[in-house]
Amino acid sequence: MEAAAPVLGLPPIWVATALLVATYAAVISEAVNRAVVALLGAGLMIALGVLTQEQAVAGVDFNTIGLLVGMMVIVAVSRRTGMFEYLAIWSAKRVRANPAAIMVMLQVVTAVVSALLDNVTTVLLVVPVTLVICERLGVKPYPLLVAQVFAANIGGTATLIGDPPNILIGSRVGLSFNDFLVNLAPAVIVIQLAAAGLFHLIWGRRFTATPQARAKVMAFDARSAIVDRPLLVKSLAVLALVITGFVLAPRLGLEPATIALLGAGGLLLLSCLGRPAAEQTKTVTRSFEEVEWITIFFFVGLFIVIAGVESTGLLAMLADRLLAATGGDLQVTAIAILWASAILSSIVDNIPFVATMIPLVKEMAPSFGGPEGLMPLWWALSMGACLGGNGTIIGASANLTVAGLAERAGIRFAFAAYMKIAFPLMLVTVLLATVYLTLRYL
Amino acid sequence: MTCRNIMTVDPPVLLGTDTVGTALRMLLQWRYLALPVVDAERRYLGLFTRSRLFGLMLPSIVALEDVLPKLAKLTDLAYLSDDLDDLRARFAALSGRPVADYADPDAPRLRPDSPLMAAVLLVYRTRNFVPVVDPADGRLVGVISTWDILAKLAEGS
Repeated sequence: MEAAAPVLGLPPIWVATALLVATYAAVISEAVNRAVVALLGAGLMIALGVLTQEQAVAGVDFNTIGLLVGMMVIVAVSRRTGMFEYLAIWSAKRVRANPAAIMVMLQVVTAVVSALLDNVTTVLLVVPVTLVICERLGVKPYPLLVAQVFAANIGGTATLIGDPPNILIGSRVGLSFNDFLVNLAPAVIVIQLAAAGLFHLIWGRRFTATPQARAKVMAFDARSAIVDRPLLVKSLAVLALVITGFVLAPRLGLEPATIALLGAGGLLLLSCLGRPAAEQTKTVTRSFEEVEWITIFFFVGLFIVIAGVESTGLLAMLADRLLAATGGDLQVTAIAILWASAILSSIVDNIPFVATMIPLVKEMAPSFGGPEGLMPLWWALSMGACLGGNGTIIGASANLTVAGLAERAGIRFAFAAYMKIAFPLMLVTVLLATVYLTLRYL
Repeated sequence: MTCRNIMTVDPPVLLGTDTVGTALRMLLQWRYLALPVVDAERRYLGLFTRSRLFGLMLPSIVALEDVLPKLAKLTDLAYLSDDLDDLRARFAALSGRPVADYADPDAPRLRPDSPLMAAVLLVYRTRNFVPVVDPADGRLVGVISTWDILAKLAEGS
């Protein structure tokens, strides 16, 4: 089927550019839900003749969608066991409920969980129990929440599945779980340790709690947080299998989406087996309800918008301009991508930015000796987009989620106050990433 | 038939300036699940519910569960070892606060001319009584409880 007639006889490149700019502007303005914006942008890309419906559907990366949905279902089922509360309480008690040490421990827990789950899911799971701990400890929760936002965004950088930009890069470029782990995890460990140290200097060292308050936290019974032991065993088994599957994916010839969806199906089966049909329906419905459909539809729409822009040659043109500006030098290009991604990601949603950058970077392959030569650029893009998100409240979805939770709980999470601390800290983390990139690849 | 025909016209109410401690005593006295909160001119401010009172005894994040994403819902609180003294201490810290701070202005409400079936559905869904508010001046004119509806039902049988 042919594309619809171009509207008003305008060249598709103009229509596609206008739609991309309008989609970006609408997402940034937050006047309309971002999923609605992306779906309208995608629909218009077809209706105005830039893409046929078949081309639009082909532009949707179902590997990304499947991976996100699969992991979200696994989390929806496994969180009911109470395992995430257990982890947070266990970590607080390990340090004898010392508030400064709890801040460090909760950052570590958040970073590790975030490496295995997406950032928004991670903060939704760890922030509520953090608030309970702070309340009992009599400590202001704001510093811990800011540190956890950082930990979620930093930890998520370490793996293919940790942060949507990585899922996008991994899927669109064909990079494996191991590629991300080997190339980014070492940097992430250093950056997270540095961030924890800086948060300690800024806030942690001044934390105090009365012995009575600490005794209250020490009285928490972590084991009672586990409310469904049989489901816990099943969930841990499935999570272990899924992670092993990700590691072995290249050898198995499987895409991450297949592994995540198999895991989701397997865990749903295990949680439904032997139960009456009505109860099974309830369990499955509940699990599907917890999938973040706004994120999923946002991705679907965005993929189509980007496919439209890509089809017009606009991104190839922009790639040429970027190469001309950096003189075709790999080091300059990588560092330019890292810092531009970081600064832009701190003010705009990093998902549309990365989705646009991927085809743009791919266009540069001939200048750097083929796809292999682009590897440092992918790591630069990933670190820039993920770490840059920490700079402002609106820089990443996890930040907005925590700010929203905090505001509802009566904890002020002001844009300027957050940025005053977070933006310079974000610059430090990107500086560390620059050193890492230069030493290892450039 | 409209709400005007079946409502209780002079229900017990809380003034916005009444304290949470007063609200607890009144809830116990009337054995109600909730009380309407009004100002000195009897303008309706919201509903103070027993579950809101319970929420004050729990970690603050629990009281927000209705407006939080499902993933943010705490699985259980069995790991907390609080006893009755802890609950009393937490309540004592809040008992002097005005109920207006905790009244829910968005709780479902009816108008005096709302049809009977609108009231039946709301009472069924809220498992509570529903305030009847005059939209012209915002004043509370009555409440409709399960008992009001059941009493009318019994009259005809």
